[in-house]
Amino acid sequence: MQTTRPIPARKVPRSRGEILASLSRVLVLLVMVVTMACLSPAFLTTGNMLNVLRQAAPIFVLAAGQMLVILARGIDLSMDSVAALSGVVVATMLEQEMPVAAAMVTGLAIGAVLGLLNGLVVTKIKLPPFVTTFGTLLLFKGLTVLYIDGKVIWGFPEAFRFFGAGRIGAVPAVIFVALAIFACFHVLLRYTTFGRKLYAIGANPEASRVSGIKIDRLLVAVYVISGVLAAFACELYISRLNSAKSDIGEGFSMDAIAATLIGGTSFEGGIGTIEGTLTGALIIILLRNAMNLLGISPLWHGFVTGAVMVLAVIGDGLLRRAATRHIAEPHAVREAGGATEGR
Amino acid sequence: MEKPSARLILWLSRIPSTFWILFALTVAFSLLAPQFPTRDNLDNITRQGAVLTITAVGMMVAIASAGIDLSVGALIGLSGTVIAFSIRSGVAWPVAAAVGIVACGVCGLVSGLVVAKARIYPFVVTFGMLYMSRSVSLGITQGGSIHISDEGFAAIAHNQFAGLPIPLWITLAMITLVALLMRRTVFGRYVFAIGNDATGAEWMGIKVDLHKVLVYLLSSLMAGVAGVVLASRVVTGNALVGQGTEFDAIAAVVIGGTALTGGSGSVLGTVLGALVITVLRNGLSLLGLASEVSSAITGVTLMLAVILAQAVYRGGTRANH
Amino acid sequence: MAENDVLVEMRGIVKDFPGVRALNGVDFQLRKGEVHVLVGENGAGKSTLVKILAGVYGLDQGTIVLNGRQTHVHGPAHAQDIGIAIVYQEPNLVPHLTVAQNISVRHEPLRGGFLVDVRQENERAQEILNRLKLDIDPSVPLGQLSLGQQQMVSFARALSLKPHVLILDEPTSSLAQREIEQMFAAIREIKAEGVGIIYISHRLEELFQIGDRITVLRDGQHIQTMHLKDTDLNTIIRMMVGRDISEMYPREAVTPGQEALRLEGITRKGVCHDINIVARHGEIVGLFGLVGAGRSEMARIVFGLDPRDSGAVYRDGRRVSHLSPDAAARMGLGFVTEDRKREGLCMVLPVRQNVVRASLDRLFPHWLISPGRERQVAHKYIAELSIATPSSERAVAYLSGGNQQKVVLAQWLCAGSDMLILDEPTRGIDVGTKVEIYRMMNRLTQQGTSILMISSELPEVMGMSDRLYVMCRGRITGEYSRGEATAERIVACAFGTQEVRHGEA
Repeated sequence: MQTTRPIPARKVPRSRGEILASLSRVLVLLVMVVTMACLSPAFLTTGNMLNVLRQAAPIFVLAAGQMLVILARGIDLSMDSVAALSGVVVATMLEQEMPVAAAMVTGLAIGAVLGLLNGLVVTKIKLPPFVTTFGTLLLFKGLTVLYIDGKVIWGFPEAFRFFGAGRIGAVPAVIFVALAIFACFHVLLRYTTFGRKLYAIGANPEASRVSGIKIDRLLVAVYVISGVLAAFACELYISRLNSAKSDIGEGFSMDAIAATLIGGTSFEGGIGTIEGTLTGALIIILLRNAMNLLGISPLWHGFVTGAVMVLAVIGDGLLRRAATRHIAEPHAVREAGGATEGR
Repeated sequence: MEKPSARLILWLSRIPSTFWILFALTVAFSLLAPQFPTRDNLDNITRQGAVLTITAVGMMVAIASAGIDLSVGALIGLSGTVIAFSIRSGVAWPVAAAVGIVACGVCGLVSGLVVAKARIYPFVVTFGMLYMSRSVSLGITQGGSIHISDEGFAAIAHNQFAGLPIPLWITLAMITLVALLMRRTVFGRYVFAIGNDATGAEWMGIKVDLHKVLVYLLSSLMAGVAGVVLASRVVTGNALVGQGTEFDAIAAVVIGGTALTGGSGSVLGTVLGALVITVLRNGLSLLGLASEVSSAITGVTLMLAVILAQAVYRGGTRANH
Repeated sequence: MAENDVLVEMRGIVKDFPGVRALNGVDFQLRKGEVHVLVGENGAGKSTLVKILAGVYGLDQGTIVLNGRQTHVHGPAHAQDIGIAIVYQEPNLVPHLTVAQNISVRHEPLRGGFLVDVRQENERAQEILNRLKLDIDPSVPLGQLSLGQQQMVSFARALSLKPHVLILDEPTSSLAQREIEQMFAAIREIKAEGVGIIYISHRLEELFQIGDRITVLRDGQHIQTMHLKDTDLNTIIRMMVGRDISEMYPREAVTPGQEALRLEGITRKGVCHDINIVARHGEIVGLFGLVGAGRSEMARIVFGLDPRDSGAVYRDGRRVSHLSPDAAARMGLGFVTEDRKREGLCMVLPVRQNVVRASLDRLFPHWLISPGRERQVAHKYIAELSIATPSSERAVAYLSGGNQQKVVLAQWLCAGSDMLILDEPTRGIDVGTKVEIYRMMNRLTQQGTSILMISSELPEVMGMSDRLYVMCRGRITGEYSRGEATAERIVACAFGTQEVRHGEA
């Protein structure tokens, strides 16, 4: 036969590139912990560690929802307002002394409905996710202000406060909540057809469509989940703060996106793990905790978060690109891409 | 080929549609709120709209290049913060203004380099820059605000020149500058080429990386200038001034008819879009509605504008096959 | 003297891409004032070679000598600066800019060193458009022109750069006949001025009209260079293919069974009109045509990806009421699309997941996935198709083109498809894998699978089909059984110059 043209596999580690990417995060985490333990005696105490985990939990909850959306090549900018609207309704219900369970479930239901709205607009009206969730961000915020105006509600029943501020033994309850969500997502993403389809859609929506995957259905589900988690995270917050007003939820989607990206989820979709997202949330909080202990002004938190996020994405890009040198052709990227990368 | 009726509809529903929306809003508010069509209020609108319009034309360039600049809101704050700090430290206000603008330019340069060289998505890069520049502002003001006590500087936003508010002059200057750049220099053409198809532009021989950097430099400089105007109006420098302007700017660009996918754009459309949002906010606040409510309406308007643009685009392209 | 005539000399060019060696020590020479045609099958390396010359790709080994001086082409801008211009198959221009603006990119007339002189720009553009006898207004946005006109503007731009070397990479696929003639007239004109032209085309019929010399590439290697007047179409085809057609296309026909798929009157405005096709179990039915004939679009309609205006699809004799990709898959239809990178594979995902992607609900009806079973199923098909990958965990992006195509095929075999629509199944694949795929097709038909093979490669269609249809501009213009028609007849149908319908039901 003629010369076989396929050249033998090369030395650059391949799917190892992915493993390296997620390993590097755990490594970064370990390095941070070790460094801080050396620099500050207060760091490795149980109290401090539990504090870190407690603060990371709500961010992780938000990031989990955002991660699903980003995996599917979407984005959810409306988390802030979904949280706010559902949060103030829950607060109002609690103020009117309704049963805690009813209030909490209603909050989640509102999150689900708002998420459903996002999902339907994206799939049926075919509005890009960026525009959709940006629009609903503003819309839901307006509704929140109309609903509660400038009022502040505070003082919630013990049963409700348990989730955000309570403890089981010495461990804050919220950590268990986060772990439960982590376990669910781990199974969902790795061991269900839903998870497989989600990765496929994110990796290549057209190919998924040809393979018979019902993209619309999955996208709607993903936005609903994101909405529910935004509402839930808000419940955790107001439970901890013991108060609620119309500006609650500010910064939710930003923090969620940052944690997701630091956690190694690719902005392009199709790549990402829940372990990575958890690591991302932990890294953000650890950085803030470290800065506090070192006496660095909290004003620089934003700087560090932003810088770490960009560096993480650059690092991921290098690792992944070293592996897959796609030959860039014109026209190839015209469909996806643009200001919001196809969102 | 291509039906003349489709072309007519395309032409009609692009720029003029934003104009008709503006027209309709103006009429509606004039009827609903008696204070709206007064000279004082129009003056108000001009001064308020300046910041958004200047920012929006810079944003348009970024979006036309198939990118985006989420950091402009934070850069406006940075500009004001740097200016306030400089003036307090005894620097003359023209120099302080220049320093504020340059500070934004530096941030834009960094964003542009990361986008072009490290090849990270503009969304992510400018999102990170948002965090970072706002943090710098916080650091400079120590979390508080710095009052600007310089009369000369405050005059920028509050005085007139040749019968028109100074902010209006600045706005017109910036609009002219960007329009000139986009239409009459190679920069503008190359931005459209890159936004249309970056690899194709490369294959045409265009220096894509260089122009991407210039795009973010431009949008950040525009934010810097807008920051000067805003700082002058509120005579304060703090990190939160200008927060959220990026979203209004994006809305203005999209309502004005520029596609988020890049490759096209219109300065006139963007200006009209900025006016729509400014008039909307102004009118609604005169009617006593909270700012969040007018934001909500802006959000819905934005969504409708995109739906309309998509419908027309689909009708148009079908005619071209 | 012959030496002074040589414009470009490329020696020993080697170019690698991940997983494949695209060019393996190719030599190429271009003389002044000649039209040098470059041919080869898909994946032969012709496009890669000229793109290296145009500065788009860098070379891994070899030298380029330009006008007697060894040159390194740094990039597309540099190539243009040293007098090399290239026209691609699709116009590489900006729809939002005007015709004149597109033409003048990189050589805009400036006034005051900074602003563009719009009037001069339009004048210059008008000049060159007139020279090409094109009736196009230079101040019109490019996006308003038809694809053919846009391509002509692309050509005009290349000429306006006043190149010494002009490369045309499949320039005529979107052109109407009149535009092709305009282009050829212009080519003859600049030829006389000493410009060297490299012309790549799949349209073998055109070559004799326009070419002086011809170089055949195969599998990234230089096969032969000769004068066109010293050769004929059949010789060229044989050199492109490298072996006897029967040896290359090992079709072993099977007695066809019942009807597997029947298309009746499939119509969609602007795409296809009244398509009637029958494919039976055990048959390979070919569908030939030029680019733009509407074959892929029609296939997408059959598979439920795009809507139709009218017409019916019958699967195993029963009418299909609702066409959609998942319904199609459940009916045992499989669709290997034209562009595997865009629509066939999830490049960043492992081979394993790509293989089972269309079978997820079937294999795991209760939502939960057993990774062990997934791996087992994937390995079964990896082995059956001899997919070369060290593990099923490796992302598909790292596989060679041929193996990637096998993964797409595996996906449908795993889904249990027994009616396969293959759209350009061997595009961009090395010869070795091509033959493997043909043998696979044989095996499948022996098991009763029915295959509808869409292809633009005439030898492939003639060699592998039991029956074949020809489409031209959205209509079926020919229907033949194996061996019933000559290459010329089939090509004529594809051009729409001859409608012959033969046939058994």
